[in-house]
Amino acid sequence: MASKINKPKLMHNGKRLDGRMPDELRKIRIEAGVLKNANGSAYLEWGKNRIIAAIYGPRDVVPKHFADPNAAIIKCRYSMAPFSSLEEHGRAGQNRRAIEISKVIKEVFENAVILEEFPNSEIDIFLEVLQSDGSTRAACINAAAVALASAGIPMKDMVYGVSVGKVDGEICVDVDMIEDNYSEADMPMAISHRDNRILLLQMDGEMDSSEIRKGFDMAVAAGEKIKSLQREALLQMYKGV
Amino acid sequence: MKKIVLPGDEMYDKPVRANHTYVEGGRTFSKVLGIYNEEKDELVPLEGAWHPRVGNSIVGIVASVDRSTSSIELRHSSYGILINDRMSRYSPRKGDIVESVVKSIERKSVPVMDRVRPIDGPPLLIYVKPAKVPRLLGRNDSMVKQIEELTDTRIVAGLNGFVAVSGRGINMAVASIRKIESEAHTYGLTDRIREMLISMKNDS
Amino acid sequence: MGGINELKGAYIRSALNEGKRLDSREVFEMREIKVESDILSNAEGSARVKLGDTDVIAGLKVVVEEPHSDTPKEGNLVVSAELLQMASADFESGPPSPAAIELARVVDRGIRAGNCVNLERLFIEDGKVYSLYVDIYVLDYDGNLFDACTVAAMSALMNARLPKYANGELDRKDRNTQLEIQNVVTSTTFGKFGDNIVLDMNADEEQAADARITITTDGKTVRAMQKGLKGHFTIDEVERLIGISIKKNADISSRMGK
Repeated sequence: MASKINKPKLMHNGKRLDGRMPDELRKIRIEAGVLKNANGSAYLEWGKNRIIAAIYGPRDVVPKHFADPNAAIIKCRYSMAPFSSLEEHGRAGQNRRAIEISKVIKEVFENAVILEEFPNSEIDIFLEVLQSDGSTRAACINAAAVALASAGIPMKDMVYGVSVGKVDGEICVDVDMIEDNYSEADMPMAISHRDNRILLLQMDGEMDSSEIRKGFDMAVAAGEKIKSLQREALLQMYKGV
Repeated sequence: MKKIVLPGDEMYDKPVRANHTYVEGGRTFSKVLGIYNEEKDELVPLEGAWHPRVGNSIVGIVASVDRSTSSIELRHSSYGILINDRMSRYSPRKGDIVESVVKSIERKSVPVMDRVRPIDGPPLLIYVKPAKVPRLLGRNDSMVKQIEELTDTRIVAGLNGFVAVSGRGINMAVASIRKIESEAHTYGLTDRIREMLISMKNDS
Repeated sequence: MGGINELKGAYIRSALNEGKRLDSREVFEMREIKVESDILSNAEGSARVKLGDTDVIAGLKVVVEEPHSDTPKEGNLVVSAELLQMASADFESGPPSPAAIELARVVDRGIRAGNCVNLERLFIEDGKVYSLYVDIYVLDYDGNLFDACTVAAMSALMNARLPKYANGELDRKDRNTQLEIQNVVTSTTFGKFGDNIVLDMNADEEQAADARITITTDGKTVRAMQKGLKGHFTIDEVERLIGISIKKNADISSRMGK
């Protein structure tokens, strides 16, 4: 958000810088089952975002004293590769931002996964952003949900992630990197497939309540497309049924 | 008709007790990525790590032998406990490949093993996705028996995913097991495996 | 996985005594190498390399820095490698393991000693040089990371472009200058089991090997070597493996840049 200096005009005749309409998603491609060692995995292209998600478990908790005798625990690690951004060479590993994102994504799946089935176990979600172009946490949630399903992890429901933002006064779905840098507000969220339950919600900037309402409506409308792409990715693993 | 369902997909518009489903708000939903067979009204998971249940037949490796107990490796860094029985005809040795049955689950997650028998050989041990083992066995073990006959091997498949193969046609047997693993969800698999093995035999 | 690995090891050894490998490869046969180049647009160079089921990705970033005081007219090249936890159930979190550090250093040495990049060409003006940071991520592990990572780093360098530097600023949108590659190195890593030696070990074989040697060549001369693990090689063996390594260079380098 922040800098208003050198802010480019983000909307031209009702269209966004990359030519999208306000309610239009970027191009999304999801592939499930891309890694051999992981119990489940997914590769996701979302605009210029490139994400790989891998799941291990349920497996025994390390170290043992973290184990919950009544349920599985979830560990989540989101990080950005040092070469993921167009700008400077980043640092390997997790910074404070990555640790916070890992935590809120973990909480999404603590809701969706049926943890009670696996006492004393852990389920690991690894999310690597190989290339970032805005809304990476929403993109990671989409990849993680597909990867979890492909690992055979029991869940109450599937989950998708999507962001909305206020761009030159206009509410837009799926903000990209440039929009995110100069927008008036940004609101990433994770939503359950069936009942539209909000499992992740963050927001910063400024929006009034009617704009937020409009943002939710746009997110849910765009969600239809994302949900069908997630489903399609999983079905592709079993062609020939 | 078979169809693939995702976690959260509605299975019945009323409460039904069925495997791999849960009930919420008077309706029944799938918990897993699975395949639903309408004729049999049965939901089978397509993926998933093995979780011990009482009565499961497994294949494992004796990892350590102490005075009163032995441990049997069942999957990556996960062990079952065997109470050593002096009266038993078999006394475990480290490194033995064994078949066994889960007798009980202690502390909610530690399987206690029973009826431990060594598998002669030594066999080749391979790992198959646990969700695919029931298909490898087939109805009344029909699939695994077919492979054993056509390849002159002995196959012991554990629900934990370890499969011990010994005998003459190990390579052919392993090739057919891998094919089953990747095509477990398709129709007519038993016939395709038979055709594959017969044509491999004719080639060699 | 103590028991299972010991068991697999015994099987691998007994098969090798009959000249066989469990995946039915010849002893000096590499698995198929697949390279996808220039796959990331934010990075200044990139490549994803699959060697059998081993899957690695290399990304290259260019930054402008001060030169090292002992080489004021040369740019820098830094190769790092990270064993992501997603790549194997055995990889742990935390700071880089000694194995990851050895991997990065061996790959880095081969490319540096191979003079692959003319570092003097990275000089911009007094006090300003380009630095190339190549980060290799291991996504899926099935053995022989040394050779896969060398192919990945080399391939990322081969499609790297230098952003324009003018008036004290780096313009990453203008990256028309292709990085000049003056030599191409490849590495071959061999494993020894008793008296048997194989090329390109998979994960099971690596668990069981007594000794390992990585030989990096440019197809004519040897540029770097690294022997690993407890076991030993004889001088005759090393000489023979160098010959094989030099011969493999042409085939492996033909996969790069595709």
